[in-house]
Amino acid sequence: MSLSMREVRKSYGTAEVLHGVSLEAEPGQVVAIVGANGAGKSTLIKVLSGAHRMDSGEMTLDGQPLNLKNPRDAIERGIRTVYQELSVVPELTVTENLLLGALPKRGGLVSWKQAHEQAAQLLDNAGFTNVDHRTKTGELTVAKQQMVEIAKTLGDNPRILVLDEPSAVLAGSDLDSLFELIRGLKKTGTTVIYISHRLQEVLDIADKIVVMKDGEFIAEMAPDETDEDHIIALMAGRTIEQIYPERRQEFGEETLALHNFTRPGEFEDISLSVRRGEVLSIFGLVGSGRSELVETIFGGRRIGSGDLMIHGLPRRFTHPTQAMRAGLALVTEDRKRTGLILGHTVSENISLATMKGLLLQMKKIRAGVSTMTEDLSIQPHNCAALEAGQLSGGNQQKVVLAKWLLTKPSILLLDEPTRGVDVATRVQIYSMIDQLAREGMSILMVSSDLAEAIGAADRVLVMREGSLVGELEASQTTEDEVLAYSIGTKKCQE
Amino acid sequence: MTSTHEKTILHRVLAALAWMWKNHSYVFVFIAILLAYVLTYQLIGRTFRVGHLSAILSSQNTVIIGTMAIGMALVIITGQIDLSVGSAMVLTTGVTIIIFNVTGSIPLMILGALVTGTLLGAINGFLVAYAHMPPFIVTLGGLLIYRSIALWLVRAVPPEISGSSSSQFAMDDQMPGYNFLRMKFGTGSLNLGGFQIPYVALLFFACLLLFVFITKNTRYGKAVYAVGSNAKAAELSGVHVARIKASVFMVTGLLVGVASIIQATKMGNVTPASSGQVYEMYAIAAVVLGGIAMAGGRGNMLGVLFGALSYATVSFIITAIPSLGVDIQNAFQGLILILVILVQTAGPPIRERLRSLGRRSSAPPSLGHSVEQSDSRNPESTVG
Repeated sequence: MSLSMREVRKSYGTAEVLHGVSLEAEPGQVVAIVGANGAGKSTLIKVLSGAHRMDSGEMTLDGQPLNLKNPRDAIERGIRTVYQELSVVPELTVTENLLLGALPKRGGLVSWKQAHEQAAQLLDNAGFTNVDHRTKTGELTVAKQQMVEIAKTLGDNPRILVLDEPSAVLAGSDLDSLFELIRGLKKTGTTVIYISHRLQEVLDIADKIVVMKDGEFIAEMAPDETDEDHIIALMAGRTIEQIYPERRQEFGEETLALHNFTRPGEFEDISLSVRRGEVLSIFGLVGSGRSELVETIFGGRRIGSGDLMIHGLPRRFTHPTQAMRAGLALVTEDRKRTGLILGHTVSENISLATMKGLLLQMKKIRAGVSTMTEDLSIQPHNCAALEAGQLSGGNQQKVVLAKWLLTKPSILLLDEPTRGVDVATRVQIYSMIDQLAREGMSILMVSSDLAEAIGAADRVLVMREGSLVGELEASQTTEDEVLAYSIGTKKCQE
Repeated sequence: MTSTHEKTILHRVLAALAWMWKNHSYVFVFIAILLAYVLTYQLIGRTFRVGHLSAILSSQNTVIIGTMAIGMALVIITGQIDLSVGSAMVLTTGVTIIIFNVTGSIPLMILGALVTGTLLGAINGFLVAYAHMPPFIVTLGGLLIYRSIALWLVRAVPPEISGSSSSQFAMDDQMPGYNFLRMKFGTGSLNLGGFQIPYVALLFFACLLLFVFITKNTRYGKAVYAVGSNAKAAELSGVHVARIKASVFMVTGLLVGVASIIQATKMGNVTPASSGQVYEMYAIAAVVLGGIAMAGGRGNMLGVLFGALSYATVSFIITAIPSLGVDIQNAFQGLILILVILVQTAGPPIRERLRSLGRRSSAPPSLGHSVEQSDSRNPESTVG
């Protein structure tokens, strides 16, 4: 027996978030932990990685007690964690990041030849051969940075590797190399604890699936004993009939159009149009220029060349306020960095984009905020005065949505609307998108989740390295076809 | 019956105090420092009188530095810093006194002070927000430049305009408005049932209340906090970040103008070579004692009042102790500043550790019963 956690409890302040969870993991086993936002997965990982101390309970590794006071203790015992938030130093090269603190020396100076050899070896062992170890890490895509991060932990041959949502930024062949790596690690006897919201890949890779809900483990099973719907039902506490809403058929006039829209180095020659009542999704891997595209439409970046038409009129926004006045709203990709002000209250966040006049009309703000928190069922109840950072990921995302819905936009730009959001909340968000479209809103949604890009949209555009490479009717395409366009194995016939 | 009732009252009082400590700790800081002041008087065998409180209110540390600290607080809340306020105050006071000496007009003098201050702030703001220069460097430049111009100006203008020698600007006491400005306003005070409140302190309070109101109740105030907490999110939510960043320097300049009016009417003069030295640091200290986070985005404007009063009181404590020379004064002020901040930053982690220890020792022993064992057979039974 390798890792054992027994009756682990942890509280923050007066709220207990882990109600005595127990877990056994054998060497060479892949244990997937799934659960809704706020189920306690992150806390569990933090306890296991030494970032937080448990209040009570017992952890052992090979029968020896694990008494972790800080992350260093965990690393010394062979427990390595790759968090969602990257910890690479962007200004250093991949080699320097991989060997940080352990650069090979010769006569007191760093031996770069040896260092580069070691770094290349590390990447090679991990199977990440498409990462160049001489580049500055910050210049790599987020996916590649994540791979550097994973490769770095493998250097010390960890006994236990904890991966916190590695697939949130990985897709396509990068994801395949990760799975390849995990299968390799299994053979060497490493235990992998894998946290993910993507159930299909969990069923693919895991030997054991543990479902967490409200700070407890409510089920533990082998992948062949279960399926996606079953896990979703467990996580949500109820059966979910249908994840994606029915498709619409009729659309109104063109509301947003781009003609040869370009920003050098980010995206090129993008032409598209969205109609009233339509949900158009742009599928692309991280780093394909999609986020930059929507931010540029919204006036957050300057347009290089090409035209932007809003309701038939050519526009050139130089600041988001102008786009907002024209009826646009942008839910950004990264809620923590660009969507929310975490230290401000939920109320302040929701009302940020709708403040009008010199004096704040508190009554109106309060009314708007309470309507929104109820409509979107933002939890916990009466959260208006709580700091946004205290909410779980799914509810934070709803706060961002609430902020923008309050502006009553006619064109809604959504950048990864469900990243890091649990299934139950996703379903809510999809049905909300559907409802808004039916009421006549035009929605342009950027997504790197294949199922979502197809399921929640009417039409799918595929973006690859800054260009649009395919356009597909959502009802007539498949995940394989969209993916084939996005990685370049299939091209538009022209 | 009665005892439980008393318990709830006690509980409420404690809860209120805990809330105060969490949100308005600067009040406790001021009370503690004030008590230390009273105690010092007892120890050296003198009696502490209400008049000593008036003295705190009329101290330069309260009114002049306090007024500038209001602007400094706004700048710090947006995540920036302004090192130029001391020098800007000296230059603005110089210009203000010249205007008075030449025109003798009170409205022109006030206008001149406010315009000059705002202009100096606008230069800082423009360079920071639109030329994207670091505020530390820009205002460090301002610190050197503004005082230097004041030093040059005092020599360049003839004595009848500077009002004094070649080293000082002084209000011309022959002008008709002099008596009102200096004697009535600058050094006079409102008698409130035996308690003297200086008019200049009332001016400071008025400015402070105005900005407490602005930060709490206006769109501008909310935008200032938003920029300091997360500028990118604020920008994408329709806040003009550059405009806000520039504006807080201009507001600081405006308040430097107000501080200059106080300097001119209270002191009657300003000496470019020595007046207002290190005031920018004192203003920062007042802001920090007022519980406003240097990292930006957090803090209550009301804290500036208590911060300025705390800071002023510290210097009174030091001067009250006869054996302490003026030379050692700054060392004590620095020490107290560090102590107060140490309590504020080291307090919460220590409390959390104590609480966590308490939980660990009182937690029930583990029984070796794991939740998933009972659940894995029949997962449906656990979900409703």
